[in-house]
Amino acid sequence: MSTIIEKIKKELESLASTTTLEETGTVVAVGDGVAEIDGLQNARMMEMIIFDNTEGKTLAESIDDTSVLYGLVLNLEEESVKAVVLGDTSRVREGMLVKRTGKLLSIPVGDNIVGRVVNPLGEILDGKGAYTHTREMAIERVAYGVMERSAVNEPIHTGIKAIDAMIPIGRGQRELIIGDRGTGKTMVAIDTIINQKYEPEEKRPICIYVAIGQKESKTARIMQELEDNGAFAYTVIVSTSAADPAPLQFLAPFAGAAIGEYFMEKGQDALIVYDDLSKHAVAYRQMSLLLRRPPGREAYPGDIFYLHSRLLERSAKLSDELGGGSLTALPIIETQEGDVSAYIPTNVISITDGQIFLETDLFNKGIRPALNVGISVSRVGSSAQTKAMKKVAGKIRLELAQFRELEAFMQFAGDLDEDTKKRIESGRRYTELLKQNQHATLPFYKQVVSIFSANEGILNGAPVENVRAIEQALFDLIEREKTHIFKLIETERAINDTVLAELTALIPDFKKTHAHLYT
Amino acid sequence: MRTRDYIYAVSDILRKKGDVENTLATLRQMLQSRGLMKLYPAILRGVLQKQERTVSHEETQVIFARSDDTEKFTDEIVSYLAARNLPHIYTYSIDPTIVGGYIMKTKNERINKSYKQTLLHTYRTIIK
Repeated sequence: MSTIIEKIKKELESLASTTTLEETGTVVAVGDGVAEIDGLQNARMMEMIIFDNTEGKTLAESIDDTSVLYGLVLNLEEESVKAVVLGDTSRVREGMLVKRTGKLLSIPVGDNIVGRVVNPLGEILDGKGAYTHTREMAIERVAYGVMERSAVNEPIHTGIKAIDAMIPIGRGQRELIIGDRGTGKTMVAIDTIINQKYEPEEKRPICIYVAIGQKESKTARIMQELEDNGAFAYTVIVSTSAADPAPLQFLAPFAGAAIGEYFMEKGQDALIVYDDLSKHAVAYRQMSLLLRRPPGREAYPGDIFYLHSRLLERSAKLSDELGGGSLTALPIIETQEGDVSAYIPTNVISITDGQIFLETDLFNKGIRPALNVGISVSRVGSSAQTKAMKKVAGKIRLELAQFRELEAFMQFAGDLDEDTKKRIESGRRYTELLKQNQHATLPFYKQVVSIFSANEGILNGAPVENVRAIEQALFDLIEREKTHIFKLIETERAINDTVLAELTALIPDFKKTHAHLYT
Repeated sequence: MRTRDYIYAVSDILRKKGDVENTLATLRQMLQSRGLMKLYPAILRGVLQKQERTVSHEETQVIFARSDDTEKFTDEIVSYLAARNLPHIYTYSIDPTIVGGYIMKTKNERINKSYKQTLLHTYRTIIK
């Protein structure tokens, strides 16, 4: 109450009759979320307009109807302007007055937006009150040019062994997560966000999760999971549900990118997850058809590629002159029956710097995360890996590649020679090693120890079902008796000779003391 | 062609030539030859609405809260119209809901100097 009194006093001190010159138009037709407006001769593309529903109403009635109804100009025609209504279309009437704001669509951003749930207009959805904002970030912006960027050479760790070892992601990269429904795409992204809690605070990226047309129950569950795992403190959620109008769903990823750019321009790193761009394409198609733009292939508008390319190009690693910040993107695409050659998936695959394929068959076989490492790729590659991981990852990649070839072969061959049998057993153990439970992310130093030990034969002779128990027992042992190994790898981000020797010496002793795991 | 296209075409011709009877006769003939006479009422309504909007845009309209205010703000309004090279003729209406001040509409612009707007802006700033 005292805050309200102070605010009123402050406003009364500066109260003066405001004179505003407004350029106005009139709604001549409205339907399906699109309003046709007569007038607004000087309206600009993507300009925000306000539907003024206070005309003819008393002050009390106007105050009751507190929320301002915005629109976004998307079609500039000869005699009229078409705008999408960013809110409840039923509030718009024919003959209603429309005012230009003169501003392009922007979202208010500040440091306090972290830990909050907002919609693409910056309106609060978590009921925790307004956040203080320091800048208005334009939702549509031109991406940084070539000379303003630097090479992607710093890793962002997902905490998932298969990805960090074989499909490493760098800060500033765009890595697509693609797969059918129910294959764990969102989980890979959420685990990446959760894993950032292991990063030191000064290097920890701000995470932005953009929910595009998702079920509200799913977004609520994700928010709860992030809170339970201590990740929500550095995460922003930009949420549009399936019930929100298509224009808001269209704006959501751009709003998320604007928030990410705010932190990137301050010299910080940011990670953004677009979940998912398939729904984004559908929302844009709906909006374009209602705006009577000509449909193209699969009824998508002709600029559907440009929609995603201009969004994803905003992810970058900036040069040192501009602060060295970065915005890493993890777009998600849902395929139908594994068809990666469909229109939208091929578009986004050609834009991104690599893709992580998740397959239903692998998921059903119990290989989770259901990554197909054979066809997944990161075009940034080992430039985005720590020295420690680079040292150990080469062998696991080779082992799994050989295993994949032999796996098909062994279905047809009768008796196999000893060498082949050994390779198949080794491949099975590595596959088991790469399985991880949901939210059980591993910091990179543990991943390095795990893979190094496997390369040095710690899994040899062990039944496949005991592989993960062996890994956990090894971690427990090191944490109990040799914590300095983890600390050294964490700080130096490399395996020096001392650590190498200690780990190599550890393995035979481990096998003796844990013989029960090898029977 | 859609109804809207016919409305724009007829409005354009009326603006340029001003001959209502001949224009409508030509329109009826064309629609009959194409079997589209059912569009005629909708086209007429659309043209009428467009004409009414054009007329209202050309006039300057002022809304006051009370009849006393018509004298109070005359000088201000006249000087604005002079600055914009607009005729010093305007129609006015009384709308108590604006609380005080005035709202002036001319062509596609609106000068909103109403007390209602100031108070509404103050309220929204306070509760933000």
